[in-house]
Amino acid sequence: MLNRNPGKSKSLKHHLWFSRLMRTSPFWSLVFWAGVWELVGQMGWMTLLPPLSHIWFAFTELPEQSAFWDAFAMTARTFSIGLGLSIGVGIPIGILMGISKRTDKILSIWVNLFLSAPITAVIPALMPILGIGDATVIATVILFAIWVVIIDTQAGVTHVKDSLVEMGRIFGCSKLKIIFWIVIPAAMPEIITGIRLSVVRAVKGVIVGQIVIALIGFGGLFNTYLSYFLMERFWALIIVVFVLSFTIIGLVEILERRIAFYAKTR
Amino acid sequence: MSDIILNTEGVGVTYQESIIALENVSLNIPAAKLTAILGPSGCGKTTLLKVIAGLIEPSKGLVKVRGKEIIGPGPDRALVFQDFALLPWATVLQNVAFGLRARGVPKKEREDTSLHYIRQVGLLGFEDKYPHQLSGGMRQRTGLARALTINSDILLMDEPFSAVDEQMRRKLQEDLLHLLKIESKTVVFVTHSIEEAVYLADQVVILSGRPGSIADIVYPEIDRQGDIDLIRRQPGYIELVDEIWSSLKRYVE
Repeated sequence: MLNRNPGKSKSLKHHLWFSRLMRTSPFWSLVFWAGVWELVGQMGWMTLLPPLSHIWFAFTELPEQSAFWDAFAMTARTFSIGLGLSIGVGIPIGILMGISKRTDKILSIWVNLFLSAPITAVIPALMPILGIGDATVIATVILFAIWVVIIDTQAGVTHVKDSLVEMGRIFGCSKLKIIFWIVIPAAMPEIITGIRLSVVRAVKGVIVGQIVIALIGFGGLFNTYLSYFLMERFWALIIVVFVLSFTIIGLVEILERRIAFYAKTR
Repeated sequence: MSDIILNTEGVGVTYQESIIALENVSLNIPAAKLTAILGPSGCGKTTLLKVIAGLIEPSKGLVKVRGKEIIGPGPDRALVFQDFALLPWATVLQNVAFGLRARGVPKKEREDTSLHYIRQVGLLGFEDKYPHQLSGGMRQRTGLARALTINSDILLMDEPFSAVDEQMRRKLQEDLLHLLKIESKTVVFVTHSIEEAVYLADQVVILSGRPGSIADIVYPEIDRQGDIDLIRRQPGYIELVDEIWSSLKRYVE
């Protein structure tokens, strides 16, 4: 009676073992799926999906190619310029919108429109204007990244307590001193959040920009590999791009946690 | 009667062209005395204080300090805020020194002055703490020390003790009286507590409900020179509280 269905209990046990493994460490989950990939690749069913070991080999070969380093340099360059401009221009605009109702009225509709718009659709229109090169990619990065900086900075500035600004006025601070000594530090938690989100978006922007243009940087490489059926290299590059974005976003999150004491003390 | 250091002449404040917050307030503030502005909530007492501070420009009338019309805030008036208005990312010392820093006083000098007032409000040893590490009472002491550093003759206080608990309020009230024996200041403070007004003030200005205008002015003749603990037991204290309550009652719904 008790052992009427031993098969079921065995499979249940098996299932538990599996799900526990998946839960305990994301590393083992990664290893498991890499194994599945390797097996499927070895079967040779799809030319599009080579075995992971071949991809790994292509991955180790990537640094030997000058085309890879050119693409890498271009990506790093356009990413930093685009992100730098987004933050450098976005924060002042956000502050301006936060302190001046008139500026807010003029700009907020546009900022909100672009924040939710599918920017990818705009890139083909940028190419004839800015040409096929750094400028278009930088513009894409900015279009991806700037809006969230503006919105978050503006939100931070409008939420600064009135009494803090009044306090500045009571002690004779000029408008500029009130902005730099009171408003900006008080809005810092929101500004930092805006910067973190904009880094995430800039990573997407720099890759999407290059892929849509398809002639330069990683986008150009992807295109070349695909058209010559160099699937190992194609997948190796995908992994590079994933690891890079993951690392950058991880770094920014660590940085944000370091500055998080601001938020706690408010 | 002592000299008048500050006066308002027919001050009126109208918001959005239709909401009248204050109407025709003419008031004399005697020098080196405590004046309480008392009234039901929403009567415009904080608005009146902010007009005196120069934070709100009156729609009608004007405010004069020593006979000279004020334009905006000035070094002759310091304000203690109801919500303390401390910078959360700055230490007690940096917060207290803020007013001096805004004036460009060199670091060494402003820290020495600040430490002097930190000691005076009883916060010595806490100068490196952040506001979130302090109790409500200590936060307000920080706000008070900051107001004292700029050494203005007039100290304005916006319901300074309303955000702290009852025991702490009593302590702060006593400490304020002790402090004012050392530092000669003209104090104007806003309160909704009749007891607090009678306990602390030489002149109590009673505002009527909307729109705020002066309903009555009483002068509690209470001897504060002697033992502070005995103030509440003096003859006349209870009677005055009752008298003010009966004249204020009709404005409270």
